[in-house]
Amino acid sequence: MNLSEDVIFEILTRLPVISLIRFKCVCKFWYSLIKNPNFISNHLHNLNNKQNHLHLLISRRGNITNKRILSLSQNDTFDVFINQDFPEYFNDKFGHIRLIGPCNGIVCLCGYPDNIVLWNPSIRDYKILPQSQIQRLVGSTIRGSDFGLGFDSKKNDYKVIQILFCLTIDRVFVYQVEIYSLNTNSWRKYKGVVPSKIKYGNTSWSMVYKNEIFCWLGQDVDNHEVILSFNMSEEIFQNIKLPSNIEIFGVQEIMRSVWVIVPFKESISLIVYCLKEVEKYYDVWVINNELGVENCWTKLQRIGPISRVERPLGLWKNGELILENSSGQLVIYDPSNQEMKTLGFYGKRGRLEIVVYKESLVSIS
Amino acid sequence: MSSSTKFLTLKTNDKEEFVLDEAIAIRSQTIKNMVEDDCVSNVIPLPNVDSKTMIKVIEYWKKHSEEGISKDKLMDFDKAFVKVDQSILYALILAANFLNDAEMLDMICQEVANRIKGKTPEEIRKEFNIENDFTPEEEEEIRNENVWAFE
Repeated sequence: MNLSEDVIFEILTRLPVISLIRFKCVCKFWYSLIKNPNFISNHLHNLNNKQNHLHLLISRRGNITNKRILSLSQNDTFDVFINQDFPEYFNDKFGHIRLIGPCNGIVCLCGYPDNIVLWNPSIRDYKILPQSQIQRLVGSTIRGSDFGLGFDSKKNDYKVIQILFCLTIDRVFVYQVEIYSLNTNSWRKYKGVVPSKIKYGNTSWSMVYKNEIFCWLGQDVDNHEVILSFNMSEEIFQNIKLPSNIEIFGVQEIMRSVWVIVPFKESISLIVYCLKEVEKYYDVWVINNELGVENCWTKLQRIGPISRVERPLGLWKNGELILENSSGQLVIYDPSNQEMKTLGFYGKRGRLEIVVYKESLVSIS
Repeated sequence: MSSSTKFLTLKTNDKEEFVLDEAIAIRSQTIKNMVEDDCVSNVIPLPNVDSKTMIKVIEYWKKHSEEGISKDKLMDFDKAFVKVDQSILYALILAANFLNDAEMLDMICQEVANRIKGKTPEEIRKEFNIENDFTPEEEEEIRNENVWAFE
């Protein structure tokens, strides 16, 4: 059967990445097609529109070796995971790794401040970012950092944002914000204001990237919980309000509630739960409208009670909850039939991280 | 039948004529544009579609135009609809492409993609009648760049 070039284009933009990498050697036309930026963005768009092309990316630390292991599920069932090969660089330079993103198939791996790598696991492509040469506040020490990753469609550029928590000589905490651009391969200082503090819980990182907006869980000047958002093309920070009627779990001080934000479908989800309770409930909220300052939050459901579970790490495609259980194992809980499935991963407690991932052909190197 | 119902006559390349409710036929962007531009005479010729394929297309259009049909029912219908021989599938792609029905084109291209995703480059060339215009050295080089994808 001879199909026209536009029909071939339509079929190929619906294939998994691994097939396309193999099919590059079919003929010269296919080779140039699969490398074409227009093809890559159409492919990305088609895959983004389909909920059944999800993968799970897991980062953990071995209990005995203490070595970092990253695994990617082959498909949207959890039968086959492939451990990812890494250059020695990662183990030498990265004590702790955080997975930031994903954005168009790219994940940002962050170690200490200034140790950042962009990585596309689906095409096994990576780029070590240059260190920022920006002058840090005189006399201050960096006490921590947070990161964001996103795409600026106006400039057709990928950006990494590094937020440094600096303690000044007067013992005051200030943020220094720096932005990396992949197009220029360089860092520059951000001059705007950060309107709230990023919350650094003892539970886990908490971030979402949607529609070119990166979000962290934050606290405004009045100590109210908010979502701190950064628009990647406008380069503006904004506070997004949380639902006003969140129920707080527990009455005693020790039974405190914990907030976590995770991506869910095309939106942001807020999960509220009680850290210290043995049998836990998880309240899941979602934003119904497009992300903005005024948001319309709906409580999707209350999941639970579930026993022997700890941190919620993410939501799967039909609202299944991905959690770390009390023995440091990764589990997935389906509220529709109350079934709990062990995914066969465990690591040092509190060190498991996951990313619900969609693959892409986007190259960064 | 309401008096406002308009009918169009579609003529396939093997000279068969299909009389179809305009509201259904305009699922095809190509036909819709013709209707809107007022260039519909008595019969709309479809030079790229044969009658056997057109019967399938109309079956799809009618099902997807049914009022109040549930999402699950449509999903079941779609699943059964694409369970056909490769040759019919390709004829449907050409028809969907010519008729400019993005939804149908997406569904069938996805089905073809699912069928070919596990194949080797050699099988793909055979399937699509493609000549390998790489030298053996060139092909070897491309394979070596991504050995893991061939494992």
